[in-house]
Amino acid sequence: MATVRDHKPLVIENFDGWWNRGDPESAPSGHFIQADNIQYFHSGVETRDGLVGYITDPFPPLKVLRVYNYVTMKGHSLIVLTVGGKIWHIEDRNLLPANPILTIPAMEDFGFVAINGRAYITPFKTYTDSTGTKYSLGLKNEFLYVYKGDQSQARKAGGLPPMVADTNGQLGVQNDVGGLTDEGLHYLAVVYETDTGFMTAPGPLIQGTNVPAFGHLEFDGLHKILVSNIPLGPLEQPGGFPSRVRRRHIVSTKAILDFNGDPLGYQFFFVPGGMIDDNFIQSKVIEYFDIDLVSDASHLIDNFSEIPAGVNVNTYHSRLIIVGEFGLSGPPDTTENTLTGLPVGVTDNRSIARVSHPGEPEAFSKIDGLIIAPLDGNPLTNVQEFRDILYLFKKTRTFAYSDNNDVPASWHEEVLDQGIGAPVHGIATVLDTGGVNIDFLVIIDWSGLMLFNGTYAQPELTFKIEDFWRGLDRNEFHNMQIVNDSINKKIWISLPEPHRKEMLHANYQNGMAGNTVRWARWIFDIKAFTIALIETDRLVIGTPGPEF
Amino acid sequence: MAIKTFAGVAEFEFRNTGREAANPPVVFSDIWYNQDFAVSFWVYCQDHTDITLFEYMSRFGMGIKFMAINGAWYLVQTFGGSQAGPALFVSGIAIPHWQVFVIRKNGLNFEVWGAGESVPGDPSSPLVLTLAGTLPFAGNSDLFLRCVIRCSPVHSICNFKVWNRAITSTEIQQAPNQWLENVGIPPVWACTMRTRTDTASICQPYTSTDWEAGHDWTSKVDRSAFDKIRDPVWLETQPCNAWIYPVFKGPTIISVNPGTSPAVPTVYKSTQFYEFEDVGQFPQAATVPFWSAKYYALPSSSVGGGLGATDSWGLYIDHNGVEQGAAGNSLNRFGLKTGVALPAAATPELLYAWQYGGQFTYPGQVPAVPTAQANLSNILLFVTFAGITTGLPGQTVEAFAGLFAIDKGGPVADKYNKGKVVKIPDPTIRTAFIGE
Repeated sequence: MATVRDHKPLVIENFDGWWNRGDPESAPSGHFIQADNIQYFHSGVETRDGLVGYITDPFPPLKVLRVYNYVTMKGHSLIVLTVGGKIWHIEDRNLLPANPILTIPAMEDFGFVAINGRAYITPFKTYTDSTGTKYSLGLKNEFLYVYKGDQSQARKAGGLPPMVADTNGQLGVQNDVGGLTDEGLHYLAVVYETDTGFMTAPGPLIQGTNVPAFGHLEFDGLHKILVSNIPLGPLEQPGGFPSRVRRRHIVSTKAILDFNGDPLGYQFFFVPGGMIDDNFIQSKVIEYFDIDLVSDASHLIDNFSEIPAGVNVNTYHSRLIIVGEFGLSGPPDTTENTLTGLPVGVTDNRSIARVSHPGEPEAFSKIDGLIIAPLDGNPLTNVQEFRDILYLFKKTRTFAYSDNNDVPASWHEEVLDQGIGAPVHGIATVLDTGGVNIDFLVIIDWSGLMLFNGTYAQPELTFKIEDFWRGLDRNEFHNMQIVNDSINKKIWISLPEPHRKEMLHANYQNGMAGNTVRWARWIFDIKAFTIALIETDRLVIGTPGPEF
Repeated sequence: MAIKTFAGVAEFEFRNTGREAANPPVVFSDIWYNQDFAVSFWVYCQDHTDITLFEYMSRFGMGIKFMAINGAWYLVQTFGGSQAGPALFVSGIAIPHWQVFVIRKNGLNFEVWGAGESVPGDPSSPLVLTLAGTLPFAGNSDLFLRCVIRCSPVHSICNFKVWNRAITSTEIQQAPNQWLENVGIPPVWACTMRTRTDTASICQPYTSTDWEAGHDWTSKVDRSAFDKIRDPVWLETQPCNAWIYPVFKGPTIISVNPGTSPAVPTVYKSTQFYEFEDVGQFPQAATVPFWSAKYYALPSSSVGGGLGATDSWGLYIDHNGVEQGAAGNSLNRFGLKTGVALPAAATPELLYAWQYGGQFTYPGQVPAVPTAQANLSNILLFVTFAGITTGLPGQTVEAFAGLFAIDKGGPVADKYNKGKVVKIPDPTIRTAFIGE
């Protein structure tokens, strides 16, 4: 190679990606001060791959606001929110479903987690306070929804206890043919079990009240017990779909010596052999001794029948966790800002994480199934399990909790970081699993993209492009979403306004550290609102159209 | 939104002669020897950077430049692009204010008229232009060749117009303060320059679907982008027009040929329908209704004889898939240069969700005779509105909404819906290897 006298040729060993930190003149050798629409391969660089429509036939007018991977028992699919608050389950890229699975017009975004093939969906929106600060909370007067993955309509998770119109619907209890029981007054009730395994509170209750219409009988110890007038699970509304109730269970108190007049104050147990495996038989004969009553049903009374919506749902130790609840703020409640004008004694729930019973993702105790993160006026934004620890995030806070095999309200709290947090979509999902764990977490923070392996690694992964990152509008970080292709060692991040038509692309084949990640900016003619990985490692981009 | 550039200087050039001889404008007036002409434009400066903002050049090299030099505007006579005479001081550069200028060639003189906002962004009434000075011009026997208007990262421009005559003093007060060309004789060329690729307010209909060549528009350095500086506030409230062209860039022919003539007058509907898109110059908001909206097309009959259609009419498929447009309604009948009014239901939001076709009336004839093919070609929409442009291209929602996936190993282009293929925007590098 010819050289100019007194000038040594500059040998570039690697393309080390985009540098947007400090003065352009300070860019180290091998870095680009502009790296648009390129991708890296080993030591080379090339124009990025093109885009192609994902849905082919029939042509869908989808205005996509959010997309997640949805892993069902049949395989991988997409769950998509479109403008108008409609959620679609797309199983076949050649066939758009005829109907959305859920429509909530006020829904701007949603949190999602799949458990055993079922989708748990929480609708939320972003509010703006008087200072112009944006924050996301679960939709007011909305709830957690469950979808069974079969194109049926999603419905509220949980379920109401058996209800009857009046005392004529009271549960009938009387002696039947000869048998053996313990003597004494017993109160009996019925629990519904839904098609998603949720056990309702005992009933029947008089419709619209908390007045029980349980059955009761002074057992004489010589007869089996005939339970009659057992309520049937109602049809789903609207549309009169089949009832969600799949089974009913008879529950009973042990013998009551001195009845105090309030049957709800006694402990109920599942009666052995008291399960009715259908939703049409209305009487059943049972026979049991009090010593057989070991499986407690009383906690069902404390459970939510409808679970308040939040911004994020996830799992931890087989429990479902939901964070970012709107909370109670009335009456009178004329404001959308849950922290404005709260009367004394009225709670705001933005710092509450609801925690279900283990293995029962719809059973949330109102009493002790919760964690209250430190109250600082900012809502919880994210929740993630990592190496057996539960992490809750606010926009600039990280808290850690460990399960002590007691109720969640008693779990030990550790404030892990008071400077780093995560927005609502700020934890990278890995491949098309819908999960995030790959021995580390990649987390979006105001200060940069963080590698989390129990502690936050410094410097941040966006060290090389710190000026660009710090130039992003912090008020819009809730619009960012991140996916991690761990096979090809690539990361994509969708960006907020005014960078909606751009996306950050990182290649970490040379190592997952601030000085080895190679960055590029991808620019499109569409607004890349939301991203996901499909077919293991193929990036899919959702956009609502140019007018948004 | 006026335009400026992110980097470098962008030139927008108007030439005297069209480059599409086989497809000339419907109405186009050249500027001949000795003929007077005039231009007007608005400029917004963010600092005193020197620039040649406007430049005119004749066929034999005589010309003028309107320049920013050391914080002031000057008009300079040039020859071969170099200064060839004393500079005429026009005014100081107002920062940051909108200023408007009219340069009028009037016989042997160039006159500069100008005015500026006294308060930035608050002209509550049209600006009153005053004569700033006169520059004698020695090249009056020369042929107008071209003129160029420029913008830069610190110079925003908008509402550029060219006339093939010296506009009157009355028109000088009116024309720059309006987007439309409805003052006196319209300009031969005009562009609002509200968006990067906005050639939408060309003053006359043109029969080509090629935007830039069709309107004899040359973008010498097309690196312009939206400026966050708004248009002059007064202009934002004035009606503006926009030409909107089909999404499909090939020949847009809408045709029918029944083969033999009907026994009684019969209307035949086309099977071809087209969609339209804009380039961001039109605000698609519910609060911005049309002042007017017309569908233009060029009716014709195929060569070769046969009974031709007597009338052609607009025909539409609306956003619900319902057919719109009645044959027989005189308001829906195409003439050679007269568009038909769009149905009121084609609102700004729904404009791009509609499909546009045509229908033709063939006269009854007994006995039946062969018919000629009836055509509508060169279709476009012409809308008039008042409002702030969004800069977002108005296109069929379906083209750019939905789910898109990386096409690994596929063509290096982005393929959106409805066959919309666009190049990957300005990659920094195509391909490079290290060590090979």
